[in-house]
Amino acid sequence: MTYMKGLEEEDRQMFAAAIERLATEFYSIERCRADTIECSPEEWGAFGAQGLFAIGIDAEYGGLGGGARDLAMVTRQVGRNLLPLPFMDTVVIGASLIGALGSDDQKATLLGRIAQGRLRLSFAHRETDAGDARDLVATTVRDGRLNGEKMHAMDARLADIFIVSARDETGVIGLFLVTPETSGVSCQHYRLVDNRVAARVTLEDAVGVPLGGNAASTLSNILDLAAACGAAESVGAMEGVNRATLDYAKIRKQFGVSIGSFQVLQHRMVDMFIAEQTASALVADALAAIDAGDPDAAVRISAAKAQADRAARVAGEQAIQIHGGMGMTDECAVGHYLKRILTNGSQFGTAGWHVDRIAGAAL
Amino acid sequence: MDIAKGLGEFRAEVAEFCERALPADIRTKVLLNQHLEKSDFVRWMRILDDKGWLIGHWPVEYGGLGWSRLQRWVFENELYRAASPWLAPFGITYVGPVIFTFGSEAQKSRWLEPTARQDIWWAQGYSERGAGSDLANLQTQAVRDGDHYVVTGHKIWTSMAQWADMMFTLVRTDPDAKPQRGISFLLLDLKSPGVTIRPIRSINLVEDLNEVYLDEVRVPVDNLVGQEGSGWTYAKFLLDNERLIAAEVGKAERLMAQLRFFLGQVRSGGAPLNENRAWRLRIGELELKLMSLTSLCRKMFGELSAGNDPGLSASMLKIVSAELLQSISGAQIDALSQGGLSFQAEALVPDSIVPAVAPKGAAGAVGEYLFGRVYSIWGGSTEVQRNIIAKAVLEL
Repeated sequence: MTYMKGLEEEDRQMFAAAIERLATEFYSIERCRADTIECSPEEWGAFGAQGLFAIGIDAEYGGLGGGARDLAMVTRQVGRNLLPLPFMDTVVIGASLIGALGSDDQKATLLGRIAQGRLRLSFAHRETDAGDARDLVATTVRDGRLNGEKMHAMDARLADIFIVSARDETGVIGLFLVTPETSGVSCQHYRLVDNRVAARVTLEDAVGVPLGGNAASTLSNILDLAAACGAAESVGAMEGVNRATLDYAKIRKQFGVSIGSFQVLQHRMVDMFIAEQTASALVADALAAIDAGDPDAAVRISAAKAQADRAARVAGEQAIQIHGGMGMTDECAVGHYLKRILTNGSQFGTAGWHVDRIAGAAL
Repeated sequence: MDIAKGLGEFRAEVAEFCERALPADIRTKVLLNQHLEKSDFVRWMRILDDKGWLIGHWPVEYGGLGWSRLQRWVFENELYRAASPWLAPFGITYVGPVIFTFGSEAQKSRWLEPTARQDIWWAQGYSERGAGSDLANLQTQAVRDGDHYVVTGHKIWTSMAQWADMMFTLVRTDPDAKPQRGISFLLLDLKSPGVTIRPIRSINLVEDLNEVYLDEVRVPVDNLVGQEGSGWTYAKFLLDNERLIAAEVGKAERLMAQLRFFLGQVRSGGAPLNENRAWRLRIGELELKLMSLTSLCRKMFGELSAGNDPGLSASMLKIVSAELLQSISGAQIDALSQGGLSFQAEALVPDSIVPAVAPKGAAGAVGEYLFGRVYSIWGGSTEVQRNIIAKAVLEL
């Protein structure tokens, strides 16, 4: 697939400022502490009003253009501010799939609504036995009717349309648009470790509208894009957790001095900083490789995702350690960062899968 | 291989007893890391007390069996391997031994029996907001007023204080003395006027940690243990006992069994994870760590029997044990991440009717991973333990 060229630098700066402002408005630790955290229609609308969801969508369909780097700019802020914004499902995955596979009519009707913040999508692809495998799809489609069970569909409670993967009688994987109120569709919503909500979507003879034909290679490309943007989100979360830890180490006193003056903690925080910088650099290279269409993009994406998942997890765990008892509490931000990092690590290929893909390319 | 000659039979006896006497509902909760009620803990501890084992490590004259530390360790590990709940140590392992070692005859006859029977649930009033790793910096004041101390201050991270009747607590009785010298050890009735307990919600969504506010709480002078101003000595004696029981080999074995279960249940690409070569190696690495802790324990407890200072072994075992438990639950998280990391809090309650979206026990495993961060924090952080070894053993 081809990717559009990036946003102009001026636009990028404008967006970054808008996200910062909205993040301040909508982020609060109290929200993370609630039993579940979901993006309200007002919040979605406020981000949409800034044109954020037009990123990555072709101008022809009311978008602003932009590439992987621009999309990841948003997901990084999502991580840094622990926002429940389902930007990944609706824009990174949803709009990209529609843009790549949709008919002219589908693009015209759906992409414009996404860009305006009037359409939310949920990507219903994973299945129980799939784990990291991208193409294990047991859900079937016969004569336009879908049967099967999808797991981990994010934001399904508030989404307007599900994008469902299914295999036809010849074994070809295709994508189908299904509205939640369609007969034969049922959802079990459940809490994830970071208090966001996903769903098990059961399809029993549910009617789906095809989105293009054979989706296998597009699906793989978009899952790579999602992995890179997910890595950016974890880098954002790592920036947040490292910042919080550094701030705390400077003010928390034990033995009459700030704990940040202890060498063992200094070295650990230096390691956390190096890990953050390394992950950030790998993510930048992966995004550039995607936007340039480099042949080694897949390996770079795997490197970014594996490093971001692992480094962020270590940072999150050590942030709790350095905060001591305070880090164990639900009122402290660092635990919520770790939980977001864990959730990201469970999506779009775990670190082990990505390392295996690096090995496959190296051997 | 038996941990020590002569203990093999005892080990088998404990295992057989647990098999027979551990109530099935409690065992199930433990296996799934579900939330236990106070009544669950007390019911099982009384069964063990009826058998004489709960305070087996106490001297015979106080109702115990005079077990060595090694035997106690073997006993607890066999229990945890069999999915026994944590034996709440506040009474039987923490304050009980302080009372029979340092307390008056009147205190022994008043407190020991109900403590062993679990008629009193104790809380540990040590940490304060400004006194965590730096415990000697505690500021809670006790001012003598006739035959009472008037205690004002604040304690935090008080485990299970919501269930407790009494709290053994460190207070400052002499604000002018050196930090360690001005501390005393009091037994404080939590039903007294002026006590407020506020629960703290932990990252695993449980409210077992608490803050305890003390506002002019009157404590009879009779409840001072040992000498006024010598509390730090008793506190350290207690902390050594606390750190020694942190070597939870039995629990590590239970978590390993659970990890193997998850690896059989969770699939990637249609095949269970235990067929994956990388996971085989990971299991091997974890088994190596587990064997390391077990051997280290055997060595340390052997040296303890030879009369060495328990404090140094305790620091080492606490570091290694915390790291092992955290590694195993970290691996569980990696396995469960294959399916997207759900946290169905409903599944932490027995007989939930909500359909599970992850293997049995998954929600409890996520909770254990999150709460398990505390193993390297509580009872003196891993960093503090390393300082102790650096100074006292390596003489750096």
